[in-house]
Amino acid sequence: MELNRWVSPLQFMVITINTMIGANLLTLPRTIVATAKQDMWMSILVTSVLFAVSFRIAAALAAYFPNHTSIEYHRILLGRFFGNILNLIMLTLMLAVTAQFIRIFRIAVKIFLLDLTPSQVIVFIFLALAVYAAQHGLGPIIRVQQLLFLFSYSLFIMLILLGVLEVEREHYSPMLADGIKPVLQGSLNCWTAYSGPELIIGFLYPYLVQRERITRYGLIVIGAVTIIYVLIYGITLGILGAAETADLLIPTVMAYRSIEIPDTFIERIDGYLMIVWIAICFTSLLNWLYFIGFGAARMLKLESSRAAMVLLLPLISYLVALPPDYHSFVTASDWINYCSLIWGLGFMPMLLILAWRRKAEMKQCTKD
Amino acid sequence: MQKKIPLENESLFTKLQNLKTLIAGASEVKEDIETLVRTLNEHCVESEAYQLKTALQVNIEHLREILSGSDDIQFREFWIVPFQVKAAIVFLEGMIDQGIINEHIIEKLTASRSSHKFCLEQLALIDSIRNIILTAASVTKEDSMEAIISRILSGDAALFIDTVNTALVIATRKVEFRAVAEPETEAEVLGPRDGFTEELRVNITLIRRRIINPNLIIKKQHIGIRSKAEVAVVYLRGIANFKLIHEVEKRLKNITLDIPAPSGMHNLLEDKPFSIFPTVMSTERPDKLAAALAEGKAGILVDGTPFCYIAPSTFPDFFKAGDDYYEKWLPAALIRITRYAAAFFALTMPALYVAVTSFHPGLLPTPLVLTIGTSREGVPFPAFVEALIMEALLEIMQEAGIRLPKIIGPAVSIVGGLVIGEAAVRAGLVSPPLIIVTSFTAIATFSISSYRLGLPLRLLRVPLMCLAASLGMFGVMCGLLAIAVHLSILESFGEPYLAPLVPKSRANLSDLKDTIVILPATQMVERPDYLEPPDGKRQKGE
Repeated sequence: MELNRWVSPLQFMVITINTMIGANLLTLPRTIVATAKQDMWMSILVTSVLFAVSFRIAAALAAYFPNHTSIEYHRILLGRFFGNILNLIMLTLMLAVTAQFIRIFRIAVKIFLLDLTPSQVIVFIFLALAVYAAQHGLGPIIRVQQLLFLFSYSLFIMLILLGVLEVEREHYSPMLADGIKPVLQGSLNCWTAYSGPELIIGFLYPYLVQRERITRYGLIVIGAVTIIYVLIYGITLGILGAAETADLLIPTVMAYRSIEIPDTFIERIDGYLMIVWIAICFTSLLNWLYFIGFGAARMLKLESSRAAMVLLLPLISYLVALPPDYHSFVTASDWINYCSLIWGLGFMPMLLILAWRRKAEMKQCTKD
Repeated sequence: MQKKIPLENESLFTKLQNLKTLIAGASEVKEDIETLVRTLNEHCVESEAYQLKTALQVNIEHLREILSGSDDIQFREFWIVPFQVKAAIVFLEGMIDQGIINEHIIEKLTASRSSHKFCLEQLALIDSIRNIILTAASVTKEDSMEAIISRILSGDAALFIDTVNTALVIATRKVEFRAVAEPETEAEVLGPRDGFTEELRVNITLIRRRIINPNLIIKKQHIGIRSKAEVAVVYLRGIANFKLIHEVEKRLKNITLDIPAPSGMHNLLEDKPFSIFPTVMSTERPDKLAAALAEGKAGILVDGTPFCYIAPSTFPDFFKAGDDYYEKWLPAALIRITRYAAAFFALTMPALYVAVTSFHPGLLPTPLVLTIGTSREGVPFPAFVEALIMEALLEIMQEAGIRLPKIIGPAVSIVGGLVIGEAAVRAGLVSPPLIIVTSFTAIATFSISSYRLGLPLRLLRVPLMCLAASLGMFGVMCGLLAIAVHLSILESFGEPYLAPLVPKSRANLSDLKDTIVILPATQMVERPDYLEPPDGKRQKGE
């Protein structure tokens, strides 16, 4: 069945940027700096290249099945049983990523905005808002993202650039002091910062117009996101230095806490940064939530995904509260990071080979 | 198959048959009587139940039955002398032009001329009267009583002729109406001074004289079950998308209210009636409607209201004012941005005050925090309650300002502004910074160009304040996100409410030239793409 194609490249780019940039904006510098130290910006560049490859693979795979979402073509490629298992793994992975980033969100809001409010309340309100938005289909979701994208990112980048005032150049040197190995190690740690588009393109592809140029648009997005990451993480490192960045729980906000612009209204940028960041987090959560609900509904062959999205609220709330302390959360985050890395660079190529073989066999059959 | 009846039972069987027929007949009589009683009890007479007859007296009787009780209905019977036939003219006094009835109907029909015999030889009686004798501008033949009644009630006169079961309806409507004056709700500096009135014909003229084009289509229809309100859908053929026109006409046809109020028509046309945001814009300015028509939108003019409805109306449309297009582009663009900012502050200012003073004083520079803290010293309420009291006062004063007669209007500002504001601060009940915040909020609300958009913003202030009081800036942000989500869910006549703020594709990016900012008129070559007009070019050139 031909699905209605209406998502334009512009909307696709907004969705992918919003999916990628989320809560990890605040915590990731710590993870990367712990291994790559002052060369963290190189790690980001390496990850962007790796991720571009993964995205190209995902797009090529989706192109083999232009009228099906990934839920269906997993079944076509692996058979009903194994296909469903793979779908389940994919949705669990997406759930884990979502829960992980809400946990980060919870920690950050608790520390910087509402220290006395129970964290369950924060999580519930935020999730309920996203569920309300996701109830009305993809159209309104894209519109709200476009609206917020315009305002939140323009404000956010402006605030981020203010950090340049406090950057100290010696924090970036010496370059490659420990060789290339820590850089590569760091690049693996920052996969979560990019993860998202390779999963949602499987859902979104049948609805896209101008599919033939999708890789190009994807690469533009990855490039833009890399620039934003290098800016934010680079400025954080430049302000705090490698040792301090690795020590702090949420280094990005802490770095901006020290910035003061004398004789102006704005004295504490970190507060404003946090407020704008809520909007950025919301758009990211909205995408993850919608596509999990959408995937679950297609897997279970439900007519509407509304019920699935409502049920996600208690499920995600449970998953968010699952790690008892911060250390177990960090371990879980590492695992989630590696799992999505394996998905992007392990499962995806495998599926692509299967799709390619299937097409070759079909061609052979028609020739015979 | 019927059973064979024995002979001895045959008479009994006939009796039973007769009894059965009698009972059936009796029940029919009972039903008839019930219907009759019901009709007698009913105060409402359905005009469609009557048919036009050939006998004049019967028709007049029917008319008297239908219009019984109304003393303003006039029946004037006379002889059409040349044809030796009786006739009657029926009209509503006060809604007709007596000159037309005297000079162009009665005088012509009662005068005898030699040419009349020739008329009758050539044409039927009714056509002779219509085409040769009557000199009124518009005379139409009607043979349905319902249509005739409806025309009489709108101010036309109906001529009934004996021996003919068709009536002639002559356009004689002349209603008193307000003169074309400057719109009071939409003041402008450089715009034209004329505004719509309550009379549909005048309003159509105001549009016709602005757009001189045969493709300006005006389609009239009547809506309502008991009272028929005259509605005209206005659009430019070849520019407005036919899907939009179809949708507008469909929605108007679907209105099944018995007596629709003309000024509340927009509430019957909205996509989501439960939403507090207006999705149909109303305007008193003909120039605004003409501009909307030129963009590819449709206008809905209703007889009895000076407000014209524009479909579709999106969120950014409520921030536009006619002056934007009459000023130079840069000041106009800056003023429009100011309006958006004003709307934002009108919505969030009290909530931000509550959130910052109660939760995050760190967001403000230290000297400012100290000033606010010092001035709040001695105030017995928490910031939230303090803001809530001021908000309630503000709303009451705004409402009083609207409802009061204009002569004693200034009393509100004296009592409200000077006495309450000044005295409240001196008594230590509220802090001076809050007075500044509240006043700024009120002024920001006034500077939004649309009164109807100001209402939901006023309404949402209180929930935002509650969120600010319970969850600080996180709550305010969640509230704003919820509003953003709600706006993105809304649609106006099938178009996204946020269009063209959220362009569908790269091709639609040109719509942003007239959204938040405004570019010089020479740069606006295209009509808004989101309306999908058949002719997208506004300026013809090489």
